[in-house]
Amino acid sequence: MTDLPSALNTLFTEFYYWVTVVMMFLIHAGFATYEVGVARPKNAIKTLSKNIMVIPVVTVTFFFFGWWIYFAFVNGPFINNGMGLPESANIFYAWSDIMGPNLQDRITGVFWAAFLLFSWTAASIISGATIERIRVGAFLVIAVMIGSVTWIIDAAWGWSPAGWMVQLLGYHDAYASGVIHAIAGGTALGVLLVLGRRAGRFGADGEPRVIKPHNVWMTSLGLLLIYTGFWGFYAACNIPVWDIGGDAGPFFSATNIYLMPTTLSAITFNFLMSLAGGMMAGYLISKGDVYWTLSGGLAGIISASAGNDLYHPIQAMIIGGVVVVIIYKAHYYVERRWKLDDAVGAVAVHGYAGFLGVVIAGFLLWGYPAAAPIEGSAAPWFGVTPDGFPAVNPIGNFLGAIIMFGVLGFIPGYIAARVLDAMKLLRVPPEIELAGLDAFGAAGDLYPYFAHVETDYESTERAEAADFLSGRS
Amino acid sequence: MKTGLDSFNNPADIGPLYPFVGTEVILVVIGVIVWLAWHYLQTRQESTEDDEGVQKFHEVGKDRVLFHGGTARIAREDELHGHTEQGAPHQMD
Repeated sequence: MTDLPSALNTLFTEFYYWVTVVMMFLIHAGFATYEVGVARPKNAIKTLSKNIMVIPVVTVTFFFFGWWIYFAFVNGPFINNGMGLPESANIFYAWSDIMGPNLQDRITGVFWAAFLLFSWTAASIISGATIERIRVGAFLVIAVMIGSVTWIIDAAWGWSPAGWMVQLLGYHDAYASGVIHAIAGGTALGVLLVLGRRAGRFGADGEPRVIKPHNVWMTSLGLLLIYTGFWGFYAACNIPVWDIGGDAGPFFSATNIYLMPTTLSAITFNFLMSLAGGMMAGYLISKGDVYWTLSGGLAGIISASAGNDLYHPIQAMIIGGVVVVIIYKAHYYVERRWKLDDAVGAVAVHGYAGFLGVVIAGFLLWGYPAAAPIEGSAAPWFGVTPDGFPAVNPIGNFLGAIIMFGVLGFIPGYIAARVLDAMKLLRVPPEIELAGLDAFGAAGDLYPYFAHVETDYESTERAEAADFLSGRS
Repeated sequence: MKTGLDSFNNPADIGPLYPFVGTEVILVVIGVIVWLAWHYLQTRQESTEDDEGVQKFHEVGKDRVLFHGGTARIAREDELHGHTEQGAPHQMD
């Protein structure tokens, strides 16, 4: 910090990440608004409570061990050429003196916070799918699992220039289609299979019944807030200033997380065009349903995010549109076929779209350099570029998508839910579910000054209450 | 008596700014205990609340709970009598 250019670079980078953190807070404001809007009034306050308590529990655990995992698990450990935990990770122990105010380190705090906000996002995705019947405590345990353990392992593996998936598979997922969204969707699916559906969600013949959001405007505003925070997320995925010149001399550019070049303009083009493609497709496929139009926009971005550092904007738009049609159909197929009660479509919007996004990037970016090779790494399994860099390829990204959705997403989610269920901590008792999660205890009524008008669904719920209480539905 | 720095001269030589440098491991241990204890207490609190809720539900009866139409409180006796057979909402006077 003694020469002005390097000091300005450091201070700019510090400020850059700080701004992204503040912007990403809007993702969480959006999730809270959205999920409360989707929940019925009798469950709204507990839904909000569940969502806001992600913030403290994931924050402290990400401080205690999550951040260290990102640097420690890049080799697996022992997957890449037998390499274990790198010693360089030791400076990120929670008790390291750079994990606090330190005049010689200005980046760790803001970089940690940027990753932490991704952690909240991953956990919140699961929150929406499980509303109106999961216990707050159970959800928070699962939130810690994905927010401070599984997602950050996947980031170490596939979202770091030294990660074994990047070095060996040529995995490319610049804006986290798989790293955040596929893993969260997979985890949500695993949890939902154990958690089960809400009372009366399917009729006697298995026909799905619609439980309408209690406030469509809130759900819409929530999704718009998530869009807003998503800008910060994209910026936070970049390194703002990096010398990519190599042997040819200095050339300063923004890079993606793999230290491969991109620009803020590039990702701005592609963020907006994939959003547009997703919204247009969502509108058409749902015949103008506002919820699916906005969710389509989100899924559009997610599906193009793996390659949005490099795509042409129209490619991003087409990917967004096509994937939204697929995931919309898949959502309702799974709902009918397997009676999956995903209250907000999180498995489809995040899981399926993220998975497909990673797979598509493997084809469209085939042959691009994934990252610079690291010392001690085994040779890439699926090809190298002329410069000797691991090459992006369809097989590597397909395997990566399976690892994200299945290995680090579905399996831990399913196991955690089974353990919590065995301890009778996963789901609220049926009496509480029927009466409403806010009916007892300190939660209170969401709208104490409004008269309640009973919906058709509530009449059905009451008619079938005896069956639900006896465990027959 | 001092807990940390007493001068900001020579900033190039200054590292950690917080007081009680050297106690980081103890702080982490305390933090982890607080975190685990919080989960334990939250779970116990939620279980107690659920148990009381279930008990109240059965005391009051499902029809009475559900007759209120899914809002977040249990209907009063006078509200219950205002319901029709179809469970239409009680009209407030």
